[in-house]
Amino acid sequence: MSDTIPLTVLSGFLGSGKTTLLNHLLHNPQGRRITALINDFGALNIDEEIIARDHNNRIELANGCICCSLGDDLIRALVTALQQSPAPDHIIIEASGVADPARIAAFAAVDRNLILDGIICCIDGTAFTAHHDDPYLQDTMHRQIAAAHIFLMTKRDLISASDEDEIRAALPQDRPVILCQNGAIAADIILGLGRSDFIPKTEPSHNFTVHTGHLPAAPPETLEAELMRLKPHLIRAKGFCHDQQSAYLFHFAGNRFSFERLAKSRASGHYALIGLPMMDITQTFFVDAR
Amino acid sequence: MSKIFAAKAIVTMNPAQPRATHVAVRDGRILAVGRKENIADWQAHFGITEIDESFNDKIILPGFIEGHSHMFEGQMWNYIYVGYYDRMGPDGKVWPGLKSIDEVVDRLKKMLEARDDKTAPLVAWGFDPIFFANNRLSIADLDKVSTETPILVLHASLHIVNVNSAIIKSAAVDPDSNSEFIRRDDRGQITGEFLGQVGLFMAMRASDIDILAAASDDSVLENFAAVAQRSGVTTATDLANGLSDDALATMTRITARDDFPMRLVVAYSGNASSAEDGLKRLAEVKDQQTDKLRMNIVKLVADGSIQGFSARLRWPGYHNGAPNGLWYIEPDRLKSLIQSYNAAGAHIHVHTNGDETIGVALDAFEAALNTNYRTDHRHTLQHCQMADRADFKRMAAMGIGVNLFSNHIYYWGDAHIALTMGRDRANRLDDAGGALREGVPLTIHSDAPVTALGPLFTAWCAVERKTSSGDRLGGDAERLTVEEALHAITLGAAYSLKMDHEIGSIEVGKRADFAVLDTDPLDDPDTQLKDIFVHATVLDGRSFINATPNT
Repeated sequence: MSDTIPLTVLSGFLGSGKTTLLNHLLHNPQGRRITALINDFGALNIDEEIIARDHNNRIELANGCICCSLGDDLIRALVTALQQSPAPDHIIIEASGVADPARIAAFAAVDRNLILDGIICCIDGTAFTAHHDDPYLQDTMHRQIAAAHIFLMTKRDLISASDEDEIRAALPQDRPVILCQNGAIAADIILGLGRSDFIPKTEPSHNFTVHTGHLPAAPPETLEAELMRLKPHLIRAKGFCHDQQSAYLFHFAGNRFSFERLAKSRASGHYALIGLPMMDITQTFFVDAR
Repeated sequence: MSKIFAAKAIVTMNPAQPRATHVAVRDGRILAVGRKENIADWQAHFGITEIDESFNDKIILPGFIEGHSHMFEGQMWNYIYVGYYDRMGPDGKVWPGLKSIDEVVDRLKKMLEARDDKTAPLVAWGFDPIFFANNRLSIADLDKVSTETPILVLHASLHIVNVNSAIIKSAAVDPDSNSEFIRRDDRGQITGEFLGQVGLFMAMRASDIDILAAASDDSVLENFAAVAQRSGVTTATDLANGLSDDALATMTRITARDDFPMRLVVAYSGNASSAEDGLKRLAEVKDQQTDKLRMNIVKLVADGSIQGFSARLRWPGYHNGAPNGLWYIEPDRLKSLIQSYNAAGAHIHVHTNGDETIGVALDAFEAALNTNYRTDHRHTLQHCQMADRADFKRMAAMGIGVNLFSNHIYYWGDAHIALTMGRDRANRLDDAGGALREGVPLTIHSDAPVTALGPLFTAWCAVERKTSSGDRLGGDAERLTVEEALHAITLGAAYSLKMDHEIGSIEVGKRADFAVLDTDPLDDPDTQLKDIFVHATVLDGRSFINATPNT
């Protein structure tokens, strides 16, 4: 696990807030050395953080984050990012506005050093309905929505409550929709709970609820069933579980559960859940595991 | 340097003097065109003494111009060709097409045996399973070649890759996860076939070689030019290129060599950058252009490919019900890029395969030209395979030209009927006849390495409109005459590159660029253009002779 790099695919139409979110994450990586493969870093507000720059297509920031220009060659940019030493803690690929993010996420499926952390879809509250009704764009939007694990709704302050309801109704009901102002969302929430540093740094707030504790013995299948009961309010989960035979590391993002068997047994079932404020764990076994 | 070339016939493409037998050349340019009786006059006026009779029994045409190809063709020849059709390499060797998976395995075995280094990856290209019914290449097939040497087989589309177990096992690859881009057999086992960019990504990770490198070393450009030269091409395009400093330095150095047999026209790849940055780069490279290296076009790619189901189609969409394809640029962004480039006076070529994309591109051009009217802009739609007459009328009204992908008729015509668009729309696929009749400036292309580079073959496709099974797409209205097809691969292409004042016909003042053929394509109506052997080319008056092909 320690040599796999989580991959986040950031999708959404032009103007949906991807750059704003990237700006925030690169300024507040919460200890991660993020490598971001992005379309145009002219739009990023990172000038004062830059400590090195080569050939204009790779920028290194003081906090260890790196931005690479995608150019028109995503494959080469990603191969190069994976060859970096030291390896980054997290890779973010900014998909172009009309890309199918599932195709990009598939890179993680064929690379032992990459694990898909999640596909985030930014939804522009002010433009969603127009895009949704545009005959040239609606199928592209449907593809992005179908592929996403987490939705970030931006520009909420510019739309009405009924607009918001309408957008929510058009999105799949089994995945969380996070309201996001100016890209201000903690990296721990949007990028997962890190690789080795497991304890979440995120404090509960009016936007999010956090649960941590130790799980009783339970196989991953049981755990998955319990986590699924928290949808669509569960955003993130990560932790260790164990049954009679083995210990496992599990991970949940959006609507997707994954686990891997660990080489050594591990007694502690330490876990953390991050969800929307309305997430209710009282009907799950997490209520006793706190 | 001055001399007179004598030929059995010269087909000039100059309406004022369609045919001749002699052409006088000075300093790489055409000084005079005529017949034997003019020689005395030329000798008296111009003082030319040398008469080159090496083409006495040959037919001279203007050098062919490939208006849509990729330098990447040259990189492919650093790999092993395993395609279904015969294909001539840069050394003139014809690689016979492989008609079964066993033949593919045999060729790979032989190539590996002949190689000293058994550890470096074996890369093959051009494979196309569409011809092998339900048989698909598998890990087991490639493991018959080797289980130790990493083996990668790139499909003709470049969008699918097959690998052997050595690659599956190698450290970077972990194809355990479920993904629609990893092909599995009925029992759920991975077959070694990877789809989309995933395959290429994995191949590059596992082999540690930059498979898609353009102009990575001199051989890429040399191979590309050699393949082009053998097919009679004196000007070829690289559509498109990031125009990095490194690529620019390589292209400048190699094209400047006297023995480099062609002109290279490079389009700047505009998809990834703002119009501001693109225009800045085009301005920077402007002064570095030479007679043999031009870089004054911007290319935008608006959708994918029809056979890959990634082109954007109008209603009723794909014949087999596949979902509509992908935009490679948002329609709104395409509009604003075309607006900006047109306003700045740039020459724009847009890749549009599906008919929906063609419509969106034409909307964008209409808006741009209504804002900033320009005469003689030469904006061109590339591929434009599914345009109907209404699209061509719009193009004619706006002065937009077309470069049709005529080779598609032969290579994928049958698949278009069965799978992608059905018979009705396939009948108007790459409708060169329609474009000409509607008044759209026309050229035709190979898109090498996607299909074999060879303007005479491309012209044959536009004339015959026959698929590889012998089916014919459409009727006479869609076909070109041989004269029209020859125009398309000479002056037509020159026009699309805004170079028709320099090249594309044999007339006074133009470059002495010729294609020298064994057979007169206009002499006998039964002559098949694709079967004519290109004996030589002439670039700036210098001859490049081809040996007779051998297999």
